[in-house]
Amino acid sequence: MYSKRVQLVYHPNTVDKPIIYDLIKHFDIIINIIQAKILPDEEGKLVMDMEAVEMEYIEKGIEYLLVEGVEVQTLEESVAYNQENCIFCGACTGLCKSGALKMDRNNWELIVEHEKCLLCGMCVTACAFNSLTLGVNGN
Amino acid sequence: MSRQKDFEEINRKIEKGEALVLTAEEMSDFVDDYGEDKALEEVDVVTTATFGAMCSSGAFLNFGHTDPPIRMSRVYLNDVLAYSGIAAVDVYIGATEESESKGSQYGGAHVIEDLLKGEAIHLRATSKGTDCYPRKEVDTYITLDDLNQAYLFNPRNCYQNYWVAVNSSSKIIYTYMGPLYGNFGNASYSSAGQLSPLLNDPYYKTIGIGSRIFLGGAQGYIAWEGTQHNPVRDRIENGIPVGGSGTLAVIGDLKEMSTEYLRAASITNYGVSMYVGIGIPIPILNKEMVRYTAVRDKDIYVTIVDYSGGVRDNPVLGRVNYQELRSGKIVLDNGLEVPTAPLSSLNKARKIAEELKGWIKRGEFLLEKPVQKLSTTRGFKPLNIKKEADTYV
Repeated sequence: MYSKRVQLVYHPNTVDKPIIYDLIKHFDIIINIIQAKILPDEEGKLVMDMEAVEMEYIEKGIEYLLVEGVEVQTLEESVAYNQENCIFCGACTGLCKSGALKMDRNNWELIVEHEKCLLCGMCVTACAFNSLTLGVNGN
Repeated sequence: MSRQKDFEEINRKIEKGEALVLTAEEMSDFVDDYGEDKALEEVDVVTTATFGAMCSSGAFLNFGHTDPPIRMSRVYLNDVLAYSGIAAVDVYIGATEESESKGSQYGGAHVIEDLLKGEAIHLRATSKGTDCYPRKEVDTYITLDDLNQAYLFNPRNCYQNYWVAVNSSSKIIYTYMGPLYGNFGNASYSSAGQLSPLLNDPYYKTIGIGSRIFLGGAQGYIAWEGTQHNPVRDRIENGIPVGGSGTLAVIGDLKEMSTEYLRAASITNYGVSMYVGIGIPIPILNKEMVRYTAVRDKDIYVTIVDYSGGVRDNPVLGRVNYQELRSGKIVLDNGLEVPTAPLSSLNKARKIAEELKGWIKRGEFLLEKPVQKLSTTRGFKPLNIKKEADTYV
C-alpha cells in the first residue's frame, strides 16, 4: 500500500462537489480524514491520508482534485521537532490535544510521539524558539 | 542555641575544596534522610536555579568612537532600536524591542543572542552633529569582541513564585503565559518551584544586593531589588508567597555568557522576550536556612488566575501546589480537570544548579555576603490615570 498525507484547501466556490466520494468510488483511494474545517462561503481546509494499492491511483486522484479547483498541499506525517533549538520548557505540551507531545517527568525533556500527531499546529504557535514546525510541500 | 555558621567559614571550606554542596532538590532528600541537625552540620551550600522568560532584560553596550566621532542619538542594531539617550556611544538594547523590519520574529533579545553567537550585527546610527562630534551618520558592522563593554543589566528577573494562568472565556487568547484555550482548556505556570532561588530563601536572609550569582553562564551579581519587587504578597505558613513577589535586578558580563543559558524567544501574538538562566547559591548558616532550602514542590502553593479579562487584577480561581502542576493536570474548584504545562525549563534549571555546584566544589566561585538586604516591606503601587497633575504646596 502507498499513502500520502495531504491538506486540501477549498475556495468558497469549489465546495459543492462530492469529491471525497469521487476519490473513493472512481480512484479506489482509501481516505482517512484527520481534520476538517469547511464552512459555507469560507475557505475550507481538510487534512487527510490517501491510501491506495498503486501510487498512480493517488496521483490520479490528486490530478482530479486540481482539475476541480482544490488546492492540494503535501504534508509531512507529523510535526518536525528540532531538539537542538529546544529548551525543554514544555509550553507546547499544554496545547497538544493528540498526546503526541509530553514531558518526560524524570529528566524533563520533551517526548515527541510522531504517530499520534494530528498536525493541528498549536504546538508551533506555542513554541517561542521555532523548535516545532509544520512542513507543507516538504518545506 | 543551635549552631550558626558564617560566610567566611563556608568560603574557607570552599577554598580548601572541602565544602559539601547540594542542589536544592538534593537538599530536600538529605534533610528527609538525615534530619535537620546533620544537614546543618554537613551541608555548606545549596544551589538553586531557574531558566524562564524574563522580559525585563537587556544589555548596555559601548561601541568605541569613529573618527571623526559621532554623538549617536538614534541607534539601530539589526533594525532593532536601542536606547541611546545616554553618552555618545553607549546604548541599552532592551530584550523586548521589536525589529522595524521583522516585527515580533526578531527583537532585542535576538540581537543579544546573535552577539553571543559571535555574529556580525548591523549598526546604524544618526546624530544632529556637534562641534566636538561632527559625524552625523554611521553604518557599519560590529561583533561582541569589538565592543568595549557589553554587560547584561536586567531590571527585573528571577520572580519569587508567579501565577497559574487559565482562560475562562470561550475563545483562545494569546498571552505572555502562552496560548490559553478557552473554557479552561489548559493552564500554564512558570517557576522552577522547589529549585527556584527566592523560594529557597523566602525572606531574603542570605540573598541580597551584592550576592554573586550564576547569570547566563557567567558569574554575575545582584545589583538591586528588581522592579515591582513585592515582598508583602500573601504568604503561607512556611513563608512562601502565593503569587509573584520578590524580584531581582541582576548584572553580569555578556562577553562571558553563553547561548546555552540566554535565549531569545518570540511569543505568538505577544512579542519578544528573553529566557535567562540564573543560579543562586544559598549558604546553610543555621537551622532556619536548612528548613527553607528543604522546601518541596508540594509545600509551594501558587494562585490560579483567569487571564481572559485583560485587566490589571485578574480574578483569582484558587490555589494549587507545584507537585500538582508538575503532574500534568490540576482540578479546579469548579471540578474541571485542566492539563498543565510549564513555561520555564526545569531541565535547564537543573543543569544550572549542577553547573553552579561544580564551580563551588572546585573553588572557582566563592559566596559573597550581601552588602545590603532586599526590602521585606516594600509595597507595589499601581499607576492611576489622572486628569491633571496634582499640585503639592
